[in-house]
Amino acid sequence: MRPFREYVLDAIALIEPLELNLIAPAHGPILRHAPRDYVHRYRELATPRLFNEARSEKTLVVFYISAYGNTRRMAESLAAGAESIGGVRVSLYDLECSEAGIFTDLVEEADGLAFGSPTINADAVKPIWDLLSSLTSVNVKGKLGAAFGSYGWSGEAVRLIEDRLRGLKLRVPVEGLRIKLVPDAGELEACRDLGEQLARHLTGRVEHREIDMAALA
Amino acid sequence: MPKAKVTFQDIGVSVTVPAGTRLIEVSEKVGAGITYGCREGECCTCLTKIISGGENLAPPSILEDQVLKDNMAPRGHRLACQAQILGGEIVVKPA
Repeated sequence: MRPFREYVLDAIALIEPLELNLIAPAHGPILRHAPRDYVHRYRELATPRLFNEARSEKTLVVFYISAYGNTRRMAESLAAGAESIGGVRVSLYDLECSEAGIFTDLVEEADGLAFGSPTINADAVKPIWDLLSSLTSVNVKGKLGAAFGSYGWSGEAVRLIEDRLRGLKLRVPVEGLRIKLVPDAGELEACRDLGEQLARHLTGRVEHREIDMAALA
Repeated sequence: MPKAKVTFQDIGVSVTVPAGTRLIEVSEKVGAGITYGCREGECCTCLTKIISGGENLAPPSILEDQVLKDNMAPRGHRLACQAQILGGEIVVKPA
């Protein structure tokens, strides 16, 4: 039913109270036998499968992949920072050896998504792109997005991920964090700070900023 | 030079800009959620909802008007790559 799940559920709510004799769709066969079953089946297929136990809290899912453990350390600090702000539940996922498909339910339920990737050959790595390309089937519009990653030479991955997130119509209010090679204590603190900022954005506790155009690079 | 204030609601940032600036110049620098395609007023990717202060933007050109119509843009929407800020206060967010 993705990415039209919400529309399907809205339509089912209108159809369910009706007395059904047959279903004659605008295209496709006319369903004369047990029409109610089809409505049930549609509800089953369109209802989110994942039980979101964090209803009262906002959820931030951090996906990362790491070549030498640097991006992983960044992810862990970011998660710790976000967790320190009350009302946000953070989950950390290593994309190593995982398939993008299994995260779809998770992404759909999450309020915020952060992606960590090293830069290899001037690009983010394949598992990240696999996951990002699978998001077209999920309604991610308006969710909070962020990117971060360690790099050795040029560090394009973070900017490329951010562009993709904006293309998917996520909000990317906080500039992503690029750190050269092994993050030191100060840089890990910056990751923590990024996590805190994301959590504030998620919980609507962000301070309104006023800046002058001349101060922008 | 006259100044104007543009607020990007999605990221909670207000920017003071000189009059004559186009929305695209500011939005990209502050990292607002408006996305761009052709950057020359044809593709309608950068469709932006003007929440308030629409009168503080230069009126749409014939080309922009046509593109907005062709893409069935709702009222109060503009192309961020075209809309020029004249002064006062404007609040926008991605469409």
